[in-house]
Amino acid sequence: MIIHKPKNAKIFNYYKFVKKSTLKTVVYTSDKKTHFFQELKLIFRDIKSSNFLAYQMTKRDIQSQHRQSLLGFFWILAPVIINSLVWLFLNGAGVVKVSTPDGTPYPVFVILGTTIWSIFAEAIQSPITSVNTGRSIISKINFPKEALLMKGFYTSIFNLIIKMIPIIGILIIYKISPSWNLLLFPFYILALTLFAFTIGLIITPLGLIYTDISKILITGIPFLMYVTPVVYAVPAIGVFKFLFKLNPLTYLINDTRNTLVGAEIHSLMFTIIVTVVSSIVLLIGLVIFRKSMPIVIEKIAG
Amino acid sequence: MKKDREVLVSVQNVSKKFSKNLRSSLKYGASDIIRSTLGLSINKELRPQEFWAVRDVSFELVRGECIGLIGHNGAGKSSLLKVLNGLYAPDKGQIIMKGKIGALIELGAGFNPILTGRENIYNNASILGFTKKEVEEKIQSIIDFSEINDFIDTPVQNYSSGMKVRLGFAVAAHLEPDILIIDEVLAVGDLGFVLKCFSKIDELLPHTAVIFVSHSMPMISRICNEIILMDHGKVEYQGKEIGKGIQLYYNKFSNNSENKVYDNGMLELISVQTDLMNNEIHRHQDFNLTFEFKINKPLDKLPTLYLEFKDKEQKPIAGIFVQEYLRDVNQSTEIVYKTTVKNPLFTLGKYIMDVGLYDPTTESPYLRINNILEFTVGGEKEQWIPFELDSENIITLQ
Repeated sequence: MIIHKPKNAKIFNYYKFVKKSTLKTVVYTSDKKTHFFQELKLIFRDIKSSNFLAYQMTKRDIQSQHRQSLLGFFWILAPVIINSLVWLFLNGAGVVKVSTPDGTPYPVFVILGTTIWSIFAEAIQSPITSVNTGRSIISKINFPKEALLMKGFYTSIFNLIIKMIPIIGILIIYKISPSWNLLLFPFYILALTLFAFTIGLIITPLGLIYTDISKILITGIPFLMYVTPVVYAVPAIGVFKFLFKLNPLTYLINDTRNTLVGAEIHSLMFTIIVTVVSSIVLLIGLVIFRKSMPIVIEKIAG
Repeated sequence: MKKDREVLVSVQNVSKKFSKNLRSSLKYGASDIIRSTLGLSINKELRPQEFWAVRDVSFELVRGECIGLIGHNGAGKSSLLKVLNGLYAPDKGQIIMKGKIGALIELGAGFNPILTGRENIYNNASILGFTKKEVEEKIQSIIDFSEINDFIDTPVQNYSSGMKVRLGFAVAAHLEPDILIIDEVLAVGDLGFVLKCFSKIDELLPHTAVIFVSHSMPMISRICNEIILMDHGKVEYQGKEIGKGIQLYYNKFSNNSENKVYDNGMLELISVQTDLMNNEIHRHQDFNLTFEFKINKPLDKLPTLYLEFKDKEQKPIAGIFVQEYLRDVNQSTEIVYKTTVKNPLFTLGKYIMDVGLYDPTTESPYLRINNILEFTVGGEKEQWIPFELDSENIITLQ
């Protein structure tokens, strides 16, 4: 049964390779005193090295999610379409009367709004969701946990591309000619995704330990949608006007939609500031994530 | 060959604590996260509800050596492995690992049931740290090793557990690690595959430092050159004498109450006697066993007495048949078997004996009692093998 092979050439080569290379040393210790920037350096090294892993995991998730369904990618769009239809129906039946700014047709307004909102909602839940789907492996195999975050990010990007299809469709149907502002659309959508992802990342370590946090998120996001100009514009008067003004998402979502419909944009500077702040917070969030993952794994993964 | 003696694994006074209930465990987890975020120090001592799962373990391992971790369930072996693998941070102490770490802790972790074997190889390999190029180079070799060529494009959910282990081991074994951590994973495969796995481990061993956890002592004694016996997180024995460690491990279990496994009511055991002091056998010294049975129903033939000796793993290793033809069996009410075991060759350790009575012609049993006698064998040397045979040797130098 066992064939005793002589040490073949391949193993010999491997041995030589080992002797040549300097071995990577890892130290696990109870009181790790690493500098913030040292941690950042390690994080970037891991992000770079685990790109293939993140790509594989994204591919696996997308393949396995859609392989078992007949409609496949349609299910990425379904929530957006249904939500839009609800509001089109409410508006059409006269239950609510929504006025849109700049004379944008209501269907365009609502479909763009809900799509952009769904991108935001997905990005904010992405870090927690992607770590949770990796629960079965994080307690068994040691790999850079940043790969899970990257997987979440890649999946969001993939879904974003799919969600662009109805947007392009509706813009063509309503013959909306975009202006040069369309060039800013990628920046806006990235800023929005980054903003959401950063918030999601900051709450991830505690959110993984106590499920309350993701429950708050799931129940809170629909509520937040109604104080954001997603399915209707900012009210002209009243308490709600004030609430809308306080909500930073108002500016991000309005402007993102405006870049698509060719309307004027109002808060470019604000968006740039949000992006810079998000980026800094994202880095802090990554360090916290890295430091707390061993604790989290120990507590949640069986 | 200085490089070969380099220390790849250095574990210094490592301790790890866990919490007994989930609620406090989560509470401590949350407070630890917040404290470490704010840069505050974390309490290293036991808090209420906590216990040490691993306590003060230290060892060093150089390339080409293998250390075995043994202990009862819950002794802390797997927790220690998880700390070594960097999954959990130690609460005290320090671990230094050099080189590529391959861990066979749970084979096939991360297999997605809906994807095919081939897709899962890509996936699993990337989790284990392969680059795309490496996977493409090795995929054929991995498929060949797993011997599931025909089903490689079938979804993994249709695989048997043995097939999943084959695939998992094949991927992990191709990682060519400097440090290899193996938890009890090979138990699922069939014999052919287990043998294949061991020959692969043998192939890797000279270039690798291996940390091996198993409940199978033959496997431990086959590949390890140092052993750590753990009990409730603490190290009970650590050293190069594998046999001694294994014996200490076995001595922890003594659930050998006598039990009757078969009785058709014809015969009844009255007494068992030995001339052994404290049930201790000495090599080469004959000993006597006397069994007394009461006959409940008349017999026509004298039953065969069968004695079976088992080692601590319940593996039968030796037997004695006592068979003779006597007349007028049906007149008697009692049978006494007196047996002398000549020149016992057992090696040091604990053994158990079963006794059985059988019909000499049909071999159908009358009575069978397990664990009737437990005895130890004294000796100078700790050995793994149950027998050391006597031999006459001629050695010539030419």
